[in-house]
Amino acid sequence: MSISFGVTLYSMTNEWLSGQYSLAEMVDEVGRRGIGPGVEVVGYQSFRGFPSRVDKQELKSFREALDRNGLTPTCLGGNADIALRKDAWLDTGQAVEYMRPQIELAADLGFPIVRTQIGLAPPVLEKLEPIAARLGIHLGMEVHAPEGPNTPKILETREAYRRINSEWLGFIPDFSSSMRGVPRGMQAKFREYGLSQAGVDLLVECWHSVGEPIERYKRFIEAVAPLGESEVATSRAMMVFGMFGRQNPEDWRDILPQVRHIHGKFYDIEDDLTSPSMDYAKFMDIFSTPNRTISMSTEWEGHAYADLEEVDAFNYVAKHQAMCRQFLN
Amino acid sequence: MTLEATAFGGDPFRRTATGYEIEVRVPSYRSLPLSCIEGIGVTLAGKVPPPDSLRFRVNGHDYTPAELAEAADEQWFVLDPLTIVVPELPGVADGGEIDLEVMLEMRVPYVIFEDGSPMIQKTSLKRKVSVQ
Repeated sequence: MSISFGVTLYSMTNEWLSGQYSLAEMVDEVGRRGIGPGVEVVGYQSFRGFPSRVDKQELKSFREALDRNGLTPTCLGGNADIALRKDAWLDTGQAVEYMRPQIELAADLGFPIVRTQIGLAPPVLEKLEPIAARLGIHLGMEVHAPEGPNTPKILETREAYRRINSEWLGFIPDFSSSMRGVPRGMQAKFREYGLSQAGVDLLVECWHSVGEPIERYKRFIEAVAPLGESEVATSRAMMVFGMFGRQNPEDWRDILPQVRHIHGKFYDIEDDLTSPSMDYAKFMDIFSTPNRTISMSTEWEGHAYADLEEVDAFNYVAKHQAMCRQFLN
Repeated sequence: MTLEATAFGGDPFRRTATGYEIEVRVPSYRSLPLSCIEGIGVTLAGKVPPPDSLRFRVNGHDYTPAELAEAADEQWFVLDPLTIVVPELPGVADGGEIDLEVMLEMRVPYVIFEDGSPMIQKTSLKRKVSVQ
């Protein structure tokens, strides 16, 4: 079995937002840095007018950039914007029609997989399956913190998949679900928000404690109360409990047969090519067991707290891939 | 957060013949539908213009606050500015430096919590600007 490497352009969110690159130029840079061959994009990030009103020339330029760099489109990151309208969430029919043009554009661009999200309930998945099957597109539901392979919503999806019984429906594991620590960069950000070191220590301690994210967050709020910390800082803390999951990495084995693509999420990486907040040795061990190729997008999300000047995202992606190769050998 | 840095660009504020214009970018890694704007508030030199007096210019159209909520088919693309058009405010003198604050409240459309409620992200942008 092998993991084929690549990158989601989401890793270069800081660079993209700075306006330094056109989309084609960013793809060229991926080629130049050798961090393909797989390329994933988030539709709503990279394409103005996504999905139905993207300029045809922009699509052509993107495809040409992939081709001239020998890069392969692996996954189009779709979004299930169920809370699109304030007065009422999208119903089944509306959700299907929201996803349809995203899947159709993926087929036009040569992406074999579309990332879907947990907001798509089983009735929607039942109606999307024939659309995906007709176009030959695999719909991979992202399993992302705070979910995991055995949380109630994912179990509900697994049951729906069992009932629908289609090769066109699967999962995209995101390693944010199964972390072993709070990234140091995020801890430092909370110090910038005004949390004291004692407050940060309590945040980390509560993150490691037992319970659902909301329970551990409440435990933190209670524990930190006597310290008189800034409300701005403590009100943001729920993000830590929701964004950095504590699921057991071994649980990924339960959905492995339905995985064609992975989000190699990471935040921190040391010079010795280890990631303190994530057990990549374990991840590579698990995902190298199937007897087939699974594509992986390196997904650096440290731009949630690190600015453009602090990190060269392309370089971080290269280090992540080197780390993974090290653990695979 | 880095999104706060990019939401307010280098020079977001200008004085116009009828008031002021403030440019902001969507405080997100991705484009969001205009209907996901829960609220945009402005404070200039401590003064708050009536919310209904604001207009929001994006994709070549000026929207009222009520029209934004209906514009589910229009995207605020991640690289494009939205211009907040503010009418003249009494008591804000020309020629000086004042405090500008913009509060952006966005509904994250793909996150729904266990109780069925949405995730709302609030971003506060502050800058000292020259009124001239």
